[in-house]
Amino acid sequence: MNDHERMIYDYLKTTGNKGSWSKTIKDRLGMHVKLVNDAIKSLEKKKFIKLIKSVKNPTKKVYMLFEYQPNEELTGGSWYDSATGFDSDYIENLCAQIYKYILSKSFPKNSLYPSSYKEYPTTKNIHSWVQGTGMSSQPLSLTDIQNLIDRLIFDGLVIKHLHTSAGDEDDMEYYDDDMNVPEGTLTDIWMYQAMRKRQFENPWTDSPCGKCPVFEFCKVGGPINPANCEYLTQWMKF
Amino acid sequence: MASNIELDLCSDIILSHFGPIVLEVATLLLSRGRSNLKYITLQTKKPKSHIRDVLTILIQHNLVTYASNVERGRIVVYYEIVVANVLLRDRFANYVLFIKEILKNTASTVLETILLHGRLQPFDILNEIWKIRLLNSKQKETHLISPILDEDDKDDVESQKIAQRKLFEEVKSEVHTAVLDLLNWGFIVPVTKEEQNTLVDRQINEENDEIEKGGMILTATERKKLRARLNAQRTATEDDVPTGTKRKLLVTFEEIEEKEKNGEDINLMFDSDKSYKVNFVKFHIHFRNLEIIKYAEINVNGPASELVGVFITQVIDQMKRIKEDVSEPVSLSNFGIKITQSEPRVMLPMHGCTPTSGINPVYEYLQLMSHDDIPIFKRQDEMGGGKYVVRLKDMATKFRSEIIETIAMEKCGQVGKRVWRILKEKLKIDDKEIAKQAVVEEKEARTALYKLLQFGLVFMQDVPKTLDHSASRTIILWFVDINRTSEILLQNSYKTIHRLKIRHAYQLEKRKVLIEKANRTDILSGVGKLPANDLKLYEILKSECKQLVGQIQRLDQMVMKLRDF
Repeated sequence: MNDHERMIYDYLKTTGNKGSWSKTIKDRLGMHVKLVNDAIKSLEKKKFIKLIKSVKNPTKKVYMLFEYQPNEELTGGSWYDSATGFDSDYIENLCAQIYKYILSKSFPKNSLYPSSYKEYPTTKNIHSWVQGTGMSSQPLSLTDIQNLIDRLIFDGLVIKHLHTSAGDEDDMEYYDDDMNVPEGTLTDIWMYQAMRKRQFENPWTDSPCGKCPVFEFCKVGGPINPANCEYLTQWMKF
Repeated sequence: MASNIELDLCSDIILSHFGPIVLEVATLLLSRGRSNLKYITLQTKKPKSHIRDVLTILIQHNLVTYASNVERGRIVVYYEIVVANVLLRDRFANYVLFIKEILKNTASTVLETILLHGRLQPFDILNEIWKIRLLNSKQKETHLISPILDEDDKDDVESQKIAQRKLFEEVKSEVHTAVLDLLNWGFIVPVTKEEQNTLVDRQINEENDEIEKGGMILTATERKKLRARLNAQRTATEDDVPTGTKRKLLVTFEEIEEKEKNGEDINLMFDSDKSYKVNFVKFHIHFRNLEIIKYAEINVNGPASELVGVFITQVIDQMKRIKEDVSEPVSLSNFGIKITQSEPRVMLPMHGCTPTSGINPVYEYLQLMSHDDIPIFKRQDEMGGGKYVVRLKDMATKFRSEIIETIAMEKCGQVGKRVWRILKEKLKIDDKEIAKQAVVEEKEARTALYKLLQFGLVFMQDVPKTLDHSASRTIILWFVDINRTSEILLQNSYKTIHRLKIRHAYQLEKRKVLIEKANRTDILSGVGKLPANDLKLYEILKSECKQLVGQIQRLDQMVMKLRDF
């Protein structure tokens, strides 16, 4: 490597797996743009550095050392596709399948499980099921499955129950010598039960006023008023 | 101070219920607030006697309270309109229907009569019901019988009088039972002198009484401490006991024995000299309880709702205030016995429950409904096998949250609802973290957040890193405030109700001639018929009005959840 290449290589070593934008490299090192571009081309050819596209800024050229794995901020994680970007359809379909799986384990025929029931699926169970059925085209980590389950909880479709009670001796298995919870253990502390899907009605949004784009503008005697409202006329005909 | 839309709604209600003459005075009280007779007379330019009559009507209907102040050696009476009571007048039909379902028809007629008159003494209630019954049975009153009678007519009159007397005794007994039932359930209460004052006036009077007792001039800090002490005393006592009234026995054993000897009715539990008015709080308590039962049915199953119904029956008598945190506790062992004795018997299906399994289905159902996502019950302590209470405040918050979530879903989609629920759980976080939790793109999360902000469903707080609050160096934290959002939605609901009422009045005005035609006696009696075209238009008008009134009722249910629970 020549001196310019060495400078760029040393700088990219400090940025680690976050990498650096080509303009930032130029500004930090105070080099001429032609020198920077030539050095970067040469380093790429020699496979010392590589180009990564950031999902947040697709037009920016981010370079990092060849041996580093790019940060999740750059790649976007499991939910980003290099071609389509954020793959919301894939997430929706996966969530629907996970919900169906949890629902199948949540209710016995024509009754309920008691509060002491401990066979609701945990994150580990759901992860094993997803991996076992091969429904996902790419491998998903426990964290990814946990994120999807949390999404279902925030949608009001799933509730969580504590898997173990605080006084159990079995709890000690979850703690290391320093009484800390080792990483990945929390996936078995909660188990998940599905809630049946409900239709929600709201009388305000059911009326034309709830959906009216000029709701704040409407007043008695004004150009838009309840007496001559077209939305109300159509709604009454319905 | 009430908002503009509340004042508009109050004006609508007073105009339709009492007419324009009462409206004039009511509008002044609504806009000006507390006023004395002199000011009202000056502003309305009407004679004092006229104003007094109007104020009497409004006081009779519990819409206006009065308080007397001593000013420059003279007693000046100030009148103030109670906006909450005015707004509740739209709900009278619901109250009457509710009583018809749980008590007999006579009780609902008694309630309707009291609502129509504002407050009545028992004798007046009986009079009014008697008039209605006479009208229904088509019997003429004695003075209408012709004075020129022959022998046959005299016999007819005698038998009519006997029949009338018999009917009167029946009606008297029914009304007596109905009034007692309504009193025992708490749906009607006696009117007390203290209630003529507003809550603020009563508190001021209490404060002044305490200061007079002490006989000293208090500093601002001492006044503040006194107010806090009186407030604590007030919340410790029940609301239905009039302030300053000492609890006492109304009748002793000896008096009851004396009454029995004299052949008097010892079961007369109400005071014939007092006026009785409707206690709206009791109705709201019952409506709230019905919503809790419905919630259990939707979120768990039918048997769970029956269990909740039986539980609430045990504690309903102790529910005096609508804004209580929890109900009275019921022990598991006692409740288990009540469930087995319930009519019809409540069956609680539970997986794995057999006589030898050791699973107590009552306990299991109570535990299932003690979850944070189904916050109906709470285990209070371990005595008697465990005592459970109904989480009334949490359920009221849950109802409000569900309304807000539905609106978030309608306005901003599934992402909006998810974002709102994330903020409700996580308190204050920024948009990047929200996007991560919701597993959506940051752009989508930000769009949803700003849409929710537009409708007042979420709020933001900026945390600047620099003194100049530069946008690029400011962190924006998002959060939800259920009370604030509920207030915004309440105002929107009021506006919508007001507009629907205006449209309803407009529809009726537009077809005024047609309505007059349809209400002609020959058309009503069936002798004549409306032309085909008119009949079709009349049917359309009826269905349009039904739709508008139905929607107003549904919105009122939502207002009840947002404001009254």
